[in-house]
Amino acid sequence: MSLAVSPEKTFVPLDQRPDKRGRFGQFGGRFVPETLVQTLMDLEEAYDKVWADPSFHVELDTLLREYAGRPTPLTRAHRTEEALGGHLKIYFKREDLLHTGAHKLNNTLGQVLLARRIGKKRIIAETGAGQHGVATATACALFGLECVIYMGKEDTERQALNVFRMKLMGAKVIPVTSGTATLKDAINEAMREWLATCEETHYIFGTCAGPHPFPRMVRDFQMVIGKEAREQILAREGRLPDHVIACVGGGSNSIGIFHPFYDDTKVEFWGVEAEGKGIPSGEHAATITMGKVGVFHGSRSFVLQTEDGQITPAHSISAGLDYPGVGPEHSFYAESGRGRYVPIRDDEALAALQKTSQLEGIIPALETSHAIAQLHKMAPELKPGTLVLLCLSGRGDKDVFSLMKHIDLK
Amino acid sequence: MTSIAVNNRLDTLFAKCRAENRAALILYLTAGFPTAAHTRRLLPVLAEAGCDLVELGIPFSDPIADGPVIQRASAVALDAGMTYPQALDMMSEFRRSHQTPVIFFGAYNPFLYRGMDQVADDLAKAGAEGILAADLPLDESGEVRDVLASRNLHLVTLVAPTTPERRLASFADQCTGFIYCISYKGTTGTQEVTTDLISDYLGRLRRHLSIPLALGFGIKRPADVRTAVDTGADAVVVGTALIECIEKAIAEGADLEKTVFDYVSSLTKELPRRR
Ligand SMILES: Cc1ncc(COP(=O)(O)O)c(C=O)c1O
Repeated sequence: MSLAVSPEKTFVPLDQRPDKRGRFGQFGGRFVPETLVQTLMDLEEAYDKVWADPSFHVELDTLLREYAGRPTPLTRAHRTEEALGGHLKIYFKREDLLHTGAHKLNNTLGQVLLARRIGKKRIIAETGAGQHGVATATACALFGLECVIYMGKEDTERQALNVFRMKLMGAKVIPVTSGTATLKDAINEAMREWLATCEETHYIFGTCAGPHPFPRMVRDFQMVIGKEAREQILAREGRLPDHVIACVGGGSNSIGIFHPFYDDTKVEFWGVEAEGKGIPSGEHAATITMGKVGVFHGSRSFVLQTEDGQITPAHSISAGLDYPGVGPEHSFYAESGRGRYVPIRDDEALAALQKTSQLEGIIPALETSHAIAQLHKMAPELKPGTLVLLCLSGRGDKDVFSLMKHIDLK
Repeated sequence: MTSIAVNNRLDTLFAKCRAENRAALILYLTAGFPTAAHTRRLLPVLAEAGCDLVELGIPFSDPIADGPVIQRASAVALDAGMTYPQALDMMSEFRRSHQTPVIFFGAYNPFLYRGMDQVADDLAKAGAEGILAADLPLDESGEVRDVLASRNLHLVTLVAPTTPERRLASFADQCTGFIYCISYKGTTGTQEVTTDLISDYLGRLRRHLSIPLALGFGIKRPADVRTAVDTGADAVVVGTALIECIEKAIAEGADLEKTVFDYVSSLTKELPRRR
């Protein structure tokens, strides 16, 4: 089922993004030390082959259905609608109900199947909130692959529960103390290891950033979110949503839900970044809102950086959004006007988390709560009858320990 | 393919080394480590001890190609307030007294942020010979290469043991100055160089590339220099070991200039070819 693409379409069609050099307009590319170039070229070639192979899709779709729990439900958020004034129709795409509790597994299952087909038996990955680490450990356990996860020391403390889960599934977790000891440093350390082991080891990048072909590959594996949601909302409402809202760390859940609506140009995209303690404080992770074009972690994109081109440490209450870079496809959407990117503060996300818990019986992840806070913020300005689709990227169980520090329940 | 021929002090150097039947000694020094004042003092010492070319490291917050020692040096330099404009100042000052070629070495982003046109102007004015950006591989480097070449500056390119033979023709077409050959897979200063490790590799590169080949990563002792020179390298690059030498001299309260001078001299002895 699909609706005709709207006639006033002005954006570049999907199939041209990215181009052969991994570019989305001026963004993307493959900015890595020469040691990794051939590995990435081989990966791109293998991926092209696999993506065109129907047997791969049968294998992946079966896993997603029988192991991961796809399709995930589309849930009407009745009490949220009421609380916001009753003029909107709101649907949550429930990636929190995917096995392991977040969208990350869509990508890791895809990449592990790919790694198997290219004969790599050892997997490394970085993780921030620990959700990608857990999803990687899960996929590796399922296929008996060796798994090493790099995680910033600060995050291993903020997300101790996820560290334990990864270890329980047989992964080795390496705490990273260099730099700011958060997600960006975990990526640095994983890349450094990969420079030495790239011929035997596959690096499962966790978001739609990094060097080509990762932004495309991760997007393609996450696109299942948007494809399902598009069909589900058409079946339920007989029309497309007016707005799609999702949080943006590196940008994988958001690109996954946005991309299948790319040609539906009347559907507006809202990418929600972490504003941390507020932009004036300087402690935030609002990369598109405040960043400048740069090259970081292998691609050209918006980056938080100083006047001297040094990367600025990000800040967010949610470890998964605490990243000074962003996927190149989002930078392209932002620059071309296809998507809008807005910041939400820590306190706004916390309030949205509590509200959603009480109104819907769903405890969303802190990352996801940024998207919900944006919905709350924009609701008064939306016309009656507006149809909103929100990516509920993950559940908040992993955040409970750190929430107890911020929320006093008496 | 670069249409503009670059010819500067760097090319003169390699011609001279060829005439003298010896390899060139390239030293990597993190600008601003541990402070800018130290770098200003040490640049002339390197030159006077026989260093043929300096790679002046522009520290970066997230150096993915570096091992722990150079990572630490970058962090210390940044904490002490090192910036790209200060590196330019050091460069100009050094050029007033010394003719040793210098290339700026670092991550691409600090250069990109400044703008490549501006960087090319800055470097030409300060008297440097080019740049090497560790995360700007050949396939992404065309425009930058042309901009630099228009100011008679080189973009020095890396080649790695993982670079397959079939891609070497494009290196031969595009690279100028010299090619920096990474001796092993991994980050700087974390493995040792052996004849076994590098002889096939250098042989393979030599079959396709006629421009000078500099071997770097893992060269620390005079014996490593000997190994590289005997295996046919046109130049050797020493980085991590120089940083360690500086750290040690400072920690022990030794005479920094003398310690560095002696260390560099011990390396230059191994540069002449035996045949
Ligand atoms: C639940 C959840 N949502 C969102 C994110 C942010 O990542 P991305 O922007 O790649 O979707 C994370 C990252 O860990 C996450 O765990």
